Amino acid sequence: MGLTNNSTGAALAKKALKRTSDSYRIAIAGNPNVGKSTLFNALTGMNQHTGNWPGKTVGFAEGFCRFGDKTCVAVDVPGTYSLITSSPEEEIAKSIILSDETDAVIVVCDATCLERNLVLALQIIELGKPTLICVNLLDEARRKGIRVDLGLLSDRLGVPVAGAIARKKNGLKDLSAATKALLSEKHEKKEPRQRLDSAEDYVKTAEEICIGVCVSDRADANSFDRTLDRVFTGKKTAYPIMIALLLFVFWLTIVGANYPSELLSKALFFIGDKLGEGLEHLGLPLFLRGLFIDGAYRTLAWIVAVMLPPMAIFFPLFTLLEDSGYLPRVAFNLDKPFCKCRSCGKQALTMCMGFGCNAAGVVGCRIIDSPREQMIAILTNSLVPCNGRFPLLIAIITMFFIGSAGGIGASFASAALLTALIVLCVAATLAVSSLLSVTILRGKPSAFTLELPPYRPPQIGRVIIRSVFDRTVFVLGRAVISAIPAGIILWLMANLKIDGITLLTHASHFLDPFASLLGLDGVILIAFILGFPANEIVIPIIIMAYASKGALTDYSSLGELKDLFIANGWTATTAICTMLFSLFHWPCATTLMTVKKETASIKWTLAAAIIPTLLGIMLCMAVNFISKLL
Amino acid sequence: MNNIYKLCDLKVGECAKIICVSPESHIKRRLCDIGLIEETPVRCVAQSPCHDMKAYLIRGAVVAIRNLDGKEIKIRKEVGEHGTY
Repeated sequence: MGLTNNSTGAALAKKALKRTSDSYRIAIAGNPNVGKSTLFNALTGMNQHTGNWPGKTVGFAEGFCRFGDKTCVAVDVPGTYSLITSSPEEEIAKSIILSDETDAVIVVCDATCLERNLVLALQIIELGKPTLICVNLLDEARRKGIRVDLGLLSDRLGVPVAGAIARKKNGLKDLSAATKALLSEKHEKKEPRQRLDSAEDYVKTAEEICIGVCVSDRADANSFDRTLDRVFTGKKTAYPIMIALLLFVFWLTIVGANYPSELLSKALFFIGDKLGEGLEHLGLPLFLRGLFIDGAYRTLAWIVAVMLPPMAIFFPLFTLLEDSGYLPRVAFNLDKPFCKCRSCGKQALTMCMGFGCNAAGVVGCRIIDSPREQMIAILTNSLVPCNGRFPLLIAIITMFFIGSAGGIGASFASAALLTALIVLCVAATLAVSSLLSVTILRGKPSAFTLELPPYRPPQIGRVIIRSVFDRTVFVLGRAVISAIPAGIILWLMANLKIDGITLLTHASHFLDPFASLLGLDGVILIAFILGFPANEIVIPIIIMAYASKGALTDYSSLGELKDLFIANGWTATTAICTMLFSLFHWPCATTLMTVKKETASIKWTLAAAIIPTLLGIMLCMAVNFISKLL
Repeated sequence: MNNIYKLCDLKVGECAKIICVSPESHIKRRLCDIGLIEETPVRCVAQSPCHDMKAYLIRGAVVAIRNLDGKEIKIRKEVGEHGTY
């Protein structure tokens, strides 16, 4: 489907992909969903990194590969349906192919819908570069009783054609040989020439070419997919299944991450202690030791320990759903409410991604074709809580709203309250999307079509690699960058004193008046502010401030935590407002960095920060006001 | 016999051929990209639970189109398969 079609790649072997006189540059193009990325990965292995086309923020993968004795740089061009409409992807694809640096083009086609794929192939052939057609997914075609005559296709198109099953790495030898032959031939430089008059002509030509090339044995070869679709999009079954799946993913993430987080934090803090002792031996003054170990390192360790395990579970699960073909059905089921808000069903997917991590959700907005709708999805992504905010929400729900009895009843009640909060967030997303559509992001609803790919068994290995490297490491990397300076600032604020009072206390006193309007107190507000790098450290900062500690502290039991909070003036209203503010406040540093990178605009990044904050302030003030009346 | 309908009128399982896409339709270009032009055979294969969107088999691929866009596409209902696979 392409949620990570252009996501940042792994820079495992950061070879400088310099163009030498021997290396060729090959563009790999094709429709979305044809297995282009699978083929690209099969050809380049792990020898890839993300390139950037000058002037654009969209990244695409470049990789190093060999065809016989020829070394090549393969470029994974964004998937497009044609080159003659003018969306940003199509402009990029066209300019990559036409670039003087590109020596040849491989057009990847789906054997099960060759007619449609040939539209793009015909247009690319006309651009004049040496072109090779790779007909992929031959195994699926065979299963559906479709036979493709590659030789006849090659004759009719006038270019070499190779068949492949990229998933199983079949046909790569033939492809390699054909590419090598293509690169070895002398080609005169052909000028791009559009031979056909209109877009429709390409479709008609493609249809003519396919007569006799694609032969279908069976009338209804898609029955398995249709049966699954009846279940996943049926009136009675669609929504319960979706909700059940989402709850399952949440549950598995939260429960599965607990133990690894504990282990990780023990390990990292142990290392931190040893580092501290080491620095002490080296004679580093207490002040600097505090700054680096208690401040920077401890904050970093905390964020990594709490952030990493849930992500390492959520992302693979989500990617599995994506790979299997289920996610477009979710967009299909949820298009109606988003269409009413002048957006589209794909925003439902980016929203779900945001439950795992808002930064990843923002990157995921690339699947939305219309720039206006993409922006709406980016700006509203932080309105749903990411993994980092769930511990705070669950802790507060448990402490203040569920009795200490425990047991099944209590778990159910917790789950119900959490679900209510999530419903609130979804409602907020729809409401804000609507509002944006009629104010600062006005525009016509887009020409929205949604491809429902065949269901395929997910490629588990690729899923793990993609979700670990593309998503987890990328998010973690950015969090680490913001954690270190934040840790230093935190330590300074908690340990430097003016007039015998720490900077932290000064700041919280200063914020008290405004915070109390929101039903919070200065400490909570400063904790949210200092928790900018990652929402995971908000509660530790609150504890650090209340308990007048000099470094981030954890709690050993919820009972103890509740006592600490109540001793500092917390009421039920404070609990509700803290939860509301946690749901609706500025996005974390990683997310904002990602928004800036995706939108390439300071203006929209500021909007992404201000919109949820305004919503949070208004809601908290309202709740506070109402509770004062009661 | 007048069997000219709109695309969104097609029930799940029914087949048709496209007569034309309304020229003012903003989705015309997009439809052409996925191969939906005059005389293209289509078959409706799924419907969303809120009945606002339907999925069609078009030249071997399944694409979902909103009913409010499907209103702008005229079709001629046909019986049986016509080259769709």
